[in-house]
Amino acid sequence: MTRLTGTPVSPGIAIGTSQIILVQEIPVVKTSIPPEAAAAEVERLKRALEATIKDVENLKERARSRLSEDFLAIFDAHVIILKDPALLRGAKARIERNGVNAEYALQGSIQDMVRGLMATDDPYFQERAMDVEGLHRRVQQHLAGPLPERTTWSSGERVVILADTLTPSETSTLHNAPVVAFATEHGARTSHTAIIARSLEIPAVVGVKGLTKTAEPHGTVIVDGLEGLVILNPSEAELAEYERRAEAYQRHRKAILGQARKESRTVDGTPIRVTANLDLADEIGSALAAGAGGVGLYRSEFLFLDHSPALPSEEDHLGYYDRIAQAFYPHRVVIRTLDLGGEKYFHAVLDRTERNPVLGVRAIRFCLRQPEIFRTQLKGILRASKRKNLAILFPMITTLQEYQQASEHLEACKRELKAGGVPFDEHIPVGIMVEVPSCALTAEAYAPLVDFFSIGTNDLIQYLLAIDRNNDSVAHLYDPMHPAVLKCIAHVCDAAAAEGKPVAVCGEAAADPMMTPLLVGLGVSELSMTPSSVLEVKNHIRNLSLRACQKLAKKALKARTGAEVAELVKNAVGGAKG
Amino acid sequence: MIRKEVTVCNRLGLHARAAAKLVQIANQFQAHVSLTTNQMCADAKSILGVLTLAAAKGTPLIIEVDGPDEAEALSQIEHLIQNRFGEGE
Repeated sequence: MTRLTGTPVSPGIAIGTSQIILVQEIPVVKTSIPPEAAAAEVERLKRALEATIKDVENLKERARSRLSEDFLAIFDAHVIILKDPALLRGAKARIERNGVNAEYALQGSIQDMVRGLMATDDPYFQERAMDVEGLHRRVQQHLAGPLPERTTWSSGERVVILADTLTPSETSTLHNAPVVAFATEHGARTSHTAIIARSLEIPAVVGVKGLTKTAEPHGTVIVDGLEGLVILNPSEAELAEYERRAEAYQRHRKAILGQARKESRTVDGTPIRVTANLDLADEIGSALAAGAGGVGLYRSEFLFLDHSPALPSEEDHLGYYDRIAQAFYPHRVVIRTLDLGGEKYFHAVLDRTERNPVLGVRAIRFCLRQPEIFRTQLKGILRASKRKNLAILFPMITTLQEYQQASEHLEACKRELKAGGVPFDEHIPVGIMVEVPSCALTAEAYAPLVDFFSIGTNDLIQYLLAIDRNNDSVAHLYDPMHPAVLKCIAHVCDAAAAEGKPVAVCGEAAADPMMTPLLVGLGVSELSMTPSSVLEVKNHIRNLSLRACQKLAKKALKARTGAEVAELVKNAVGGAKG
Repeated sequence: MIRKEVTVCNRLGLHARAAAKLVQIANQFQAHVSLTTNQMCADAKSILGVLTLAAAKGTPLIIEVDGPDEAEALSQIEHLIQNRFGEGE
């Protein structure tokens, strides 16, 4: 029995038989080929390449209904690479001149291709170069004869895919397999394994260190996508326990799904809006199905990454935002303006030499230095606002002056559109994201000016408690319940309430059931989170009493440590449920 | 064999998506298609070749097409480049 932990990216619990997929290992044996057999060897390679191209095209067709155009374009890029005459030419030359077998010749030619693509100044194809290894493996499999990939599965079989990492095409090969869960060694919430798992509604855990080294093929595996746990070869007792939990989760899921449309009000009648954080347009469907009352945070970074190395045009912005505004109408969709930089996203326009990017030119700081990029986005948002359900959110505001400058850009864009006779929402609500302690502590300066506040707890905690989120050695210090964090949130809520402005929370804390009563009690009226948490939190709110939450929050603000706060919440859960 | 000189006129030049589109179109024809800048020449069916050209906006490009369907191939490729690869401004 081995327990491994990772990041849960798709909820649920599943038990099945492991199927291990490794991308790196391709056993290629070098043999010599006499000159008279060279032509046949080249022919064999050609057929394997053609078969692989066909595979990729089939995969694209199968994935078509489930994935967005941008995602599907990756398959096209794979086909183009496989069809590149340089690939076959290089391998052919090796077979004929060096007298080696197709497998070995292909390996050399693939290495040239990867090097060539990495040498171009094109981030999009540099990224595709990483995928070439996966394509290579497929061609080698075709060379080895009939694909070992299974296409028929006995009824009742339950497959758990364990992999170091999965490329989009590999993930889609599993389309017909009875896959009940995914676990991968690498990857993040936004990796395609996570997205596909969420769209298939099966549990997934990523970032599981040591997974493929520890796991054995065809062993029994439990994947707990709620806790971020992978259990290899579980004991009888554990199996029984998790079977019970999986069943309980299913029952619970079914029950709350029936209430997705129902409003989320506390038992004493206060509405708390539960909205979705979206990264990609792909997630619109799952957010709507979960009953999200709009989008509390649309992270526009992905639009920029998607167009890298180019920048999205005003039309690109318009197209994306219009689609989301329409999908959620009449609910509100909050578009956060570009939050590029920091430790997260890479784009060609960023200065890669920054020493400390988390404290450097990111988010609004970047936008104010690159007004062209900023205004293009603002105009795109304005043009998509004619249904009057869009709002704008400026990230990482640190000083009032930044907010004023950003607002001036927005006003200039409005004037420009007006002069051109373009329709838009003239009263589009504008909010600021409270992520920097200086902003939280001076919230009263912004309260009369903004339409709403949105507290980004992930960054606020990082800056307030001085913790690098990517440094495992300090991860234990990351604590949303730290009294300093609660005091900041309380201060923002008080300042906002004095001006009658609403406060939302859009960090991970918004989806943490332990945090919900605290946030509600402090005065937060909207919680925005990953779509897969929406149902749970809505359900949770319906069981809370605002008065009990307020009492709890008052006590928590006097606590000395996060542990004391956690204790208070645990003791109060019964009481807070009213 | 037919040839024509065009100028890359989209803002981003022959970058990822534009290059991919160009190769996809070239792949639809039997004819051999080559692209020549004043520095190098590339097979338009090779993504690696097209990316290596690194043709920025304003680069003059000679398209040479040779094969049974050369007229149609040239016309489509020319159209793609002059339409800025459908990118808008």
